[in-house]
Amino acid sequence: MANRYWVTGGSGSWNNTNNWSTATGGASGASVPSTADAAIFDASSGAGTATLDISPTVQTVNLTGFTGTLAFGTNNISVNSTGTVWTQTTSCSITGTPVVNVTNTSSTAITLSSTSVTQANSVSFNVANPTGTITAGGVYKNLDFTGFTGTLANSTRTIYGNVKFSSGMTLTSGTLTTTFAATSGTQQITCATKTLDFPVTWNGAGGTFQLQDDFTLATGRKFTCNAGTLDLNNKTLSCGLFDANAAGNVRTLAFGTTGQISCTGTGTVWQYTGTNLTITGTPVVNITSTGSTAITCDAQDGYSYANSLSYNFTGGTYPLTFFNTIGGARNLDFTGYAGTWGGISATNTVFGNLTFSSGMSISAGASIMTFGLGGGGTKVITTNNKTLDFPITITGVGNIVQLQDALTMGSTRTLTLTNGTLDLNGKTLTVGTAFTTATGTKNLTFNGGTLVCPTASTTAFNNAVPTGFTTTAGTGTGVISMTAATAKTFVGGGSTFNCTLQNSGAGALTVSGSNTFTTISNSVQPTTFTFTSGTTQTLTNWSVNGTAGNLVTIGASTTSAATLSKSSGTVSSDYLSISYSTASGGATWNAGANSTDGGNNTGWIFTAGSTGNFLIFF
Amino acid sequence: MKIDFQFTTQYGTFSDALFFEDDAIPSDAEIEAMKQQRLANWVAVIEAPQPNYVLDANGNIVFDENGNALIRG
Repeated sequence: MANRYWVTGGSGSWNNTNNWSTATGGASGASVPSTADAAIFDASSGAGTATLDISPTVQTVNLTGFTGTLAFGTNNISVNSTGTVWTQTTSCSITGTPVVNVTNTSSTAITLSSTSVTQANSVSFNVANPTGTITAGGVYKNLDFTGFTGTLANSTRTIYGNVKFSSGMTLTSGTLTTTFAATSGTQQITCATKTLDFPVTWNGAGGTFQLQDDFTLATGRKFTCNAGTLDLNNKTLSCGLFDANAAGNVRTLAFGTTGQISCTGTGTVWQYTGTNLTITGTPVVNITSTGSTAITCDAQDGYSYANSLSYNFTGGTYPLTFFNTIGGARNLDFTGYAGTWGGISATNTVFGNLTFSSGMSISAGASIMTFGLGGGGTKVITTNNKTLDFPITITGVGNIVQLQDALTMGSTRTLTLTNGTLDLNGKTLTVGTAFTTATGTKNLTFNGGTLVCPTASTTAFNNAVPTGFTTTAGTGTGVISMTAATAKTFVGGGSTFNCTLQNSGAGALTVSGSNTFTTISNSVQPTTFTFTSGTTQTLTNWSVNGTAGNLVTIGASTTSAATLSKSSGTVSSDYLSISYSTASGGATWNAGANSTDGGNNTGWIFTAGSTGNFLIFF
Repeated sequence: MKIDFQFTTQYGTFSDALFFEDDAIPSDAEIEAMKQQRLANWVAVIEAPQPNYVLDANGNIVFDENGNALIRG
């Protein structure tokens, strides 16, 4: 191999013997380097421009120390040797469309050395022919391995352009990071089914990297998103760990309609903050980890529907830490997961659907899980028999949160209905300490469902903010069941309840507010209804009855009567003990032959023998 | 596959659903046992003794800012 040194002091063309010497800084006139020569540009080559007027083939190119410009134009360079065939440092400039073809076909190792090169001066390489190991550590524009059947060594490299791996090549594993760093335009990544067993960082503020096929990192390898746009282009990005925690950088994750990110590792498999991050498309994150090693999914996203992600936990028995920082998720699906979720320990929002798996366990949590915000439409909750031992708030203006099966809360937890519709959908909702309303436009739809309030308290059902509260019967008969065996209160707030209010426990049920009910009923005897004095309960049906020896007591909260009003028809009760009750509205109120007139009643018809005080015989 | 079911109890109607993969549907007896288990679990919740709540001067349960009832240690 002969060395040819670029020696022109000014600018010149490659294919000109006036620009080449056999020695550094030597006399010109040497032959133009060709297939058996090394082309060398060094500190003695001057600061001028070397213009490629042909597409030469040389053994190697060395640009170390060169302070001039290598102008490719539309030509390219082929290097046909082995060893270090390309050497480039930061000192020289590159213009045009710089492409270098690595053409040696042997299995001898080849190195492409491109150290500290800037994006503007980076060079593209086509590596198709070699069959040995390629070491490409440094900075590159495009790397095209189409047709390559050799091995690409693990190196620290930065890529500003497109990358095409080939299905026949081998990528060695290692801990050295490949960084995609384009700051403009859209760069494409083609993996050709290869698994990349090294860390990858995406760090191109202003640039876009677009997957051309599925992108897979080996389990245990991290994909770090620092800056720029990652366009999944409807493909799947799989990695051991995904880190998008660089809140200080502007980032975009473009999922398309079917793009997904899958995490396969253990430990903290997902780190994410929604600050400065834009989500487009339909974002789905799959945690596909298996086994029993603990996993943390840190989802500090979801401050709004727009930048929330859907999470699927698809398997494993691992302990899961999730929703331990403020954030949220769009859809949250645990189908297939059989471990223990440590529960919610910071306020989080599920904007979409929530599905628990039958095989999982859920620890209690004191922080609120909010449902229904944003996105519109109907969001469904499937508990699969899991007790939701954390407070729940339903709040989504114009949205519907709908049960798919029974939902039972922990005994100390409150469900708060603030905005939107809670549709029981024919299922049973059993709250903990209380069901309460809050400021907002809210609706409780039954569709045949039952709301069970089991706590003995003055706020077991607490329509604390009746303004904007409505109820809808839907199909079937809805029920609010007050089941406590000791005293409890239904705070009606003066609203209309298109359902049955049922006293289902032995404890006295106090009903406050002047409300409207479809039906008031009881399912146990004896028990007591106490209506706040001075209020009126407007009814379509009165279905309260005791049994022999088990009277149901009807009374008022003070020594002033409360009114029951039914506009028409006939009430037929029995075994009641009634006092301080005004029955009115137009209906006929028969207390029943075995009922007791406790006094201070109006409108009730007590048939003979029903006063309880004396009997009259004719 | 989804199987909706319900039981009428003194506490009201317990309405729930079972979900199965289409290729892993239990026998009728197993499904019935699951239904009964769901019912038993729910009744146990309803009938569980009330926690020893912290009460204010008016006898009302004291809640924290998230709506959790405070329980005496």
